[in-house]
Amino acid sequence: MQADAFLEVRNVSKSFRHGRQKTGRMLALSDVSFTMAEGTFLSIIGPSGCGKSTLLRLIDGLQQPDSGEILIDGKRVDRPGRDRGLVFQAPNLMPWRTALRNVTFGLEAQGIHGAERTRRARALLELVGLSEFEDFYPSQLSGGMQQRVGLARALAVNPSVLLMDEPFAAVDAQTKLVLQEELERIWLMEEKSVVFITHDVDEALFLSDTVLVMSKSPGKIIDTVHVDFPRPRSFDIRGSVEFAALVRRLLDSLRHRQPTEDSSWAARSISSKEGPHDGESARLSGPGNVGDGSR
Amino acid sequence: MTVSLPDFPGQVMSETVRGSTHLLRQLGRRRWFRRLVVWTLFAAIYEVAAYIVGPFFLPTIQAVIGSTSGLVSDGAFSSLGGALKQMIVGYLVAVVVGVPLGVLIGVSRVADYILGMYVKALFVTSLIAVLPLLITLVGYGFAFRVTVVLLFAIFFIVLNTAAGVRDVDPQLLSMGRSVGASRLRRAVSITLPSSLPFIISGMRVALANSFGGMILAEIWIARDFGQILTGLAYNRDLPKFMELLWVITLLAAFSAAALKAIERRITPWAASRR
Amino acid sequence: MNRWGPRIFEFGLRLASIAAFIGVWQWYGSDKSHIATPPPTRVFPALWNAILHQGLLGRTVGMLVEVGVGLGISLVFGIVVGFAIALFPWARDTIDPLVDAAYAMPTIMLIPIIGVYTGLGFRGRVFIVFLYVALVIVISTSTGVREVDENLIETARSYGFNGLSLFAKVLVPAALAHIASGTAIGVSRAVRGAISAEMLLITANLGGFIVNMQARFNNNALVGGILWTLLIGYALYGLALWVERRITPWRVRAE
Repeated sequence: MQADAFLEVRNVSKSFRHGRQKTGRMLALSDVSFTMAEGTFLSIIGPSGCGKSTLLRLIDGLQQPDSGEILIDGKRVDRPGRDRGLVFQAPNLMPWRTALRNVTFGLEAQGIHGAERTRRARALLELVGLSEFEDFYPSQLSGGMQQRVGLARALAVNPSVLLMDEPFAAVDAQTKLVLQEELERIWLMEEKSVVFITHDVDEALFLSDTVLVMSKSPGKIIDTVHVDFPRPRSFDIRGSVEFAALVRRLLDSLRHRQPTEDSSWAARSISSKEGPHDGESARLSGPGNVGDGSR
Repeated sequence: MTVSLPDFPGQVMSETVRGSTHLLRQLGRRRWFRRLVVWTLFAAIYEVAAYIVGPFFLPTIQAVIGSTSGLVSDGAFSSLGGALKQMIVGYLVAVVVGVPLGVLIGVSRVADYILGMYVKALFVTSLIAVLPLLITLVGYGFAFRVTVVLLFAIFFIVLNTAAGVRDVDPQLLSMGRSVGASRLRRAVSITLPSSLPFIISGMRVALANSFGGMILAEIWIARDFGQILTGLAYNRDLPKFMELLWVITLLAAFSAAALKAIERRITPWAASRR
Repeated sequence: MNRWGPRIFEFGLRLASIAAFIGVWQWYGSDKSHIATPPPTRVFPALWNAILHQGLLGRTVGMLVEVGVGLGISLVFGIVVGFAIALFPWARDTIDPLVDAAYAMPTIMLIPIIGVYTGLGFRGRVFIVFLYVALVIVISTSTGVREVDENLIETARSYGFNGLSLFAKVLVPAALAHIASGTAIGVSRAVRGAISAEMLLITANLGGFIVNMQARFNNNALVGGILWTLLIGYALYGLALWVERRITPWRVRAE
């Protein structure tokens, strides 16, 4: 195992009851493994129902894997913890709390009180650009603003890993572009590790250092792409030839690939920076030429 | 892809023990079984309590059921039937007056400003206070009982109908206008069906409330059925009184359930609203 | 100025409607043959007299105390039972249908037999208020808890809330909106229950005043008392709605 592996997902499988049958079970995740270095931005893309949200819930500790294990900083995950912050697709703000009190929500669980709690919440509202809205209720905020409050709430508990489950899927296209740039800015300032679930290829490429592609039924990792555009990234990179090539490659992976028998190669390819699948080579390999073992 | 996994790893125990606990666990998930257990328990506790405190305070369930023939010979059920007939008259008048009034208040802002506040005020206040005045106005007869039921029922119908009419999707109405549907056509094919669920659920609550109005009128004037009721109460003939209470409660519950079934039948598209 | 147009129109129409109502009442009541409905010029002085000399305010306060105590007991009972029904499947399957059936029961029918258990005085009246209100609180609480957004619960769990803290931070505030609107309806039912008890159980307080005035054929004070009672009921419901909005501000501002 690599020395700087911060988050390790080792051979994780998870199945659910299938309908009302007693014996039939749906295999949501099959032997998923990958590692991630501290402070990096990792996206997981895949068709809906491929188990990517389940994977995120397992990392958060809301659910437990049937087999395999998940380690963060060498410690095994078995319940939600303050080293992880989860941001959902819906903002899931408490409607009876103002923006500020929503941000303090997570701090309350940690027993942080009074002025310190408010001070931290204010700082984070400022970070997401909502200082003037601290007394507003969620119902008075737009979808994009609500999502920013959700992000501030997750950041407030100062997690080392931020887990984001399609956080921008429910906002309009314009807002989404703004929020993506904001997220990158905040990520660069806060130096968190981020696991980001999305089904939007552009979004994954724009934000990530690494993109994992998952297949459906069973959920497996079938491709890994490193993205080496310099940061902070501007809107312009979306128009570049390299960006387009990576988009093609991810779309091909999503569309044509059969589930691979051996998904552990994906983990290998992330953990070995010098290997054939490191960012540079993947980026230059171009569309339709995805390499070994999977076809 | 579906794979088979064992549900729970069974513990080691003898076949019979495992069989019976398994059966109990299965039964425990069944709603009818839970009801059977808990309701039997409630009934048993009640029955024991009734024996302990005596018939002056609580009649046993056995005594309540046993009092049926006495009620029949007292003529209680036939006079209850008479009271129900008057209730139905009052209820129907409430529907016939209430629905058009509700439509008027729902459609016209002017009508709402002029009439709406009285409807809302009478809806939330204590109408029982009006009874002494009502008696001096219309006397103790048929008109009094019908009016009390009417007052207890009509405001639900008016307010629900108005809410239903206001709830009609304005886009549907403008669609109707754009395809050239006449005003009447729009009312029949758009406004009516989309406010129907509201109207019927208003009628359902109003019917349940009519029973309260009917009983109030009967007790207030203490003649016919009311006389039987108050007589049973003063003589502490609790088995008979309780049986009447059960019968009336069941009638109210079943008539509400029947209207709900009708509601589902004729407005199946509104299921999500309920 | 234009912005105020519709509001002035609304206010004017309402005012005109009230004025027309009082005018018709005056015209109808002034007819000598309509002795049961005295005109406002006789009713309002009688009402004023009742306030000054017949203790109407004290009677009103007496009624309000019954409402307050009955409502308080109903809230405690209703919230506990409502949460139990919502949270425990056994309770939901077995108690829910009983609540529905009890809700269909005409509560007023219990008044003739209730005195033996509670006495005919204050305790009896409070019990009747309880019978009128408790089920509404049970139903609104259980509905409120059942309709709590699963996602909010999962969110709170991911922040490390569980058990009692999850209950206090999510379930209770989420159900509060339903409980508050149930309580507003409960207030109007409580007044109804209190007045019914005061008229039917044994004459007392505000309801008793109306019955007494009828017995003395004092039609002026009778109509005055009825009007007063209706207005008190309406005002209390308005107050309850105002309180509801104050304690659940996030819903009002959403509009």
